[in-house]
Amino acid sequence: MAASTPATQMITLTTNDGVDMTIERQVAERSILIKNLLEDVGETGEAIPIPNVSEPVMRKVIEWCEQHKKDPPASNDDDSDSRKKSTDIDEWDQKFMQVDQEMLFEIILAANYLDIKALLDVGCKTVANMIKGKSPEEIRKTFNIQNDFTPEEEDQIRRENEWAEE
Amino acid sequence: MDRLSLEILAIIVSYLNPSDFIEYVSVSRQWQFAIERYTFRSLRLKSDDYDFFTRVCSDSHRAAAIAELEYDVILPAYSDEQCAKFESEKDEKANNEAFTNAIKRLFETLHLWGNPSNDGAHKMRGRPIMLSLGAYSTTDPRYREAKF
Repeated sequence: MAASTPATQMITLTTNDGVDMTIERQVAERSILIKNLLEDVGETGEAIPIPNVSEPVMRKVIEWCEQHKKDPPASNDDDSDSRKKSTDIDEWDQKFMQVDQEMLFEIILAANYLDIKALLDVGCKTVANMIKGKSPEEIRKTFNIQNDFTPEEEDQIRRENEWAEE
Repeated sequence: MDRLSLEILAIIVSYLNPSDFIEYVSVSRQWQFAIERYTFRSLRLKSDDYDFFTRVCSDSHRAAAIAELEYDVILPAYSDEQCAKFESEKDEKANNEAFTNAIKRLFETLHLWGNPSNDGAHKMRGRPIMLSLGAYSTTDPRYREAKF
């Protein structure tokens, strides 16, 4: 008899700190990386190693994927050309993103690695909202960015960009 | 934040207000690279500014960002008196020459950018640029200030 797909198929992921996490396949498949991996290797039942993500970060990512498991799959439209995009974030996601800066960047990096575009976008929007209204100096301070320009270079780059924007 | 790749920073930048780009472009070099993908996407260039343009775009990431180029060829100026007359053969020749030279110069630059020995070449090759051409003289009636 052909194997019938159980209502909720579970899979196991192993994080880079060696922790096994068993989750619903549907939840895990929010990650295009994992989805493709599962399609490629078939159902071996073996744990899938996720070498770039640690357990605490993976827990957050899975929490997001659980919440969004019923979302329609990401549309493929390339919107890189539109210069002004909405930074609206729904309430649940806003709460979810209330983490320290370190964790926020970890989530963004994990979303990028795991290819979860919607989560990557929410993370990037959150950072963009933190940037808005700040001066360059405040931005450097907030994100601990080293200014690697001399005042003359800063001036020149601004002028050249003013020309480009004209 | 320095752990975020340029690709990710470019996504963040895409959510910022474009009118703030110039403010943010000098935060750091990585920010400059991310923002100039947008500020250099569409350029308007006068042939008179050509040397400035080639110098500014000698940074390969800037050249690689250009997707639209509006190129205005500035033709030789003429006097009020000439303005009232039809173009002479000599004027026509001068205008044609100015236009041909300006176009030649542009294509030489574009060719240079597409040359494999250039470090920006891998980004440039096969990527289309939409080019719009225009030509005028600063003494054309619609470009000079009304003096009457």
